[in-house]
Amino acid sequence: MRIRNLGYVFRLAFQGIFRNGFMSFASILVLICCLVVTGSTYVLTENITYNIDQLSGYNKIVCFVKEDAAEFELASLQEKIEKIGNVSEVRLITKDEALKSYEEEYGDFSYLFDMFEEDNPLKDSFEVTYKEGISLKEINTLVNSLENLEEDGIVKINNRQDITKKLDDLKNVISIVLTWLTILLFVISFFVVMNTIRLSVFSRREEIAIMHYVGATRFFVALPFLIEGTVLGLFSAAIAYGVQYFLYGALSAEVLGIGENGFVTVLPFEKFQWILAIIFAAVSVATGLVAGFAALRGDKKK
Amino acid sequence: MIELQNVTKTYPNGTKALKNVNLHIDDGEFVFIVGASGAGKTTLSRLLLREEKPTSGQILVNGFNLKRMPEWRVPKLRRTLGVVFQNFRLLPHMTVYENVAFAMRAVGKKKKDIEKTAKSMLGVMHLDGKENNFPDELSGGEQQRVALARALVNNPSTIIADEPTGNIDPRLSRELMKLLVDINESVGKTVVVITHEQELVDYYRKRVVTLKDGEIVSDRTGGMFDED
Repeated sequence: MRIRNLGYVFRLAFQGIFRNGFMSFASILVLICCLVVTGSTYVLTENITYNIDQLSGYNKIVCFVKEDAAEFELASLQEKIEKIGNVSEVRLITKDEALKSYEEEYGDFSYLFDMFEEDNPLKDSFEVTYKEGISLKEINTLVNSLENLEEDGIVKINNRQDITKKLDDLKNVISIVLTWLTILLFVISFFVVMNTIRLSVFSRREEIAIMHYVGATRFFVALPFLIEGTVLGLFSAAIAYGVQYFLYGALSAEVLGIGENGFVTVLPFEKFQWILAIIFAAVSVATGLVAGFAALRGDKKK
Repeated sequence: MIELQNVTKTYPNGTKALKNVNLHIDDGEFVFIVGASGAGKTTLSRLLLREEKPTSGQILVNGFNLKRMPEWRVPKLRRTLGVVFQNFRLLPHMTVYENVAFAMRAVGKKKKDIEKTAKSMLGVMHLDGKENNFPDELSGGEQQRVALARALVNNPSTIIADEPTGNIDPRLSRELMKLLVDINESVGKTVVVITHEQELVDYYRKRVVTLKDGEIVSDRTGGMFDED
């Protein structure tokens, strides 16, 4: 196979794509679906992992105290909390301080809290900071110890580790579901691309037979079909990348609407652009090539 | 040069297509391989083209040992062979020129050489002016000359014609055979014609190898049914 024949084999490859236009279109479509699902799995798990990391860095538990707790009860409670293992700091936040903090947080809308100044519905609370780097098991032990202080006046515990755990579970579920979906779509893509190339092989069977008889190498005969698979793959990858870009932009704008309240952080697309481009190109070319080889297996006997 | 030494071919279903065949064909010879249907002619042709491997024995074709030859060397062997098929097997979507040029392109010849050689070969075969016609626009005789041009364009040393007159009328059969004889006599190419047509074989008085039930039952020069 010489460089000067490349133009010829590329021409044959494109002829194959256009000759079986409908099947080529189906191959591209199913590959795009497959790549977008793969890409979405990746960006989604990356985002969830990032948010989990953010939440894990927040090493505080808030314990709300019963409404009529006296000062001495609060002092006793603080002392008991400080004695629990892995606790590094305990800070009392009175209900007045809590209200003030909300007013500050909501800035221009702070007037909404004016009505509560006379009759503050908030509760006194303890902000319990635990040592950094402790395990989830140790955090759970700490939370259990705090829950045991119910008789001393603790009525509610807000622990972000619950959210972290839920997010982690969600991430696992999403990963499993999307990974299986990706595998299924890859299998479908593989067969559709393989059949597209098989159709090309079939429509050129007489040409292939003559090529073998006149002494064409197996590689020369196979190359147009492998290029056909690669071109289908790369074309799908380019479109899938565009679809992923717009999909991510649109969905992150939706999520950011919530994100402005500080619940969720959406990573910018630029963070994944290269890795996604590489994944899309590698996966699509590999699918195209493997399907091409598989389609040509039947030709081997000729 | 073609040499078969004690060649036996048994198919997986147990059919013994060739039994202990010994045959020697010198460079520049013209040989008819004849026999009834099922005699082993097609198997012999497939063995010479290395579409099949012998079960036992040795086959040498133009310096290649076909039994020991690795797969990747098969194209090299086939470049020394020009094949003429029954029904010619011209590619209907290609013009006359493209059908011939295609054989050169498939073996990686330069574009400049392809243009020059393919055109000159069409001239030799008296197909000037037909370059842009499609096979279905040609007469039977013209089609067979295109097929021959394609077989010869890569300058093989041996031509193997497998039942080349199978589906054509007697006049065209004689025309084709005359072309093959001319090629053999004028440029000295080895020609092996596999056929069952007694009339043609008798007419040309060339070497005739007769196969029957997978064995060579006669090898002589002259007609198929000449008395010894």
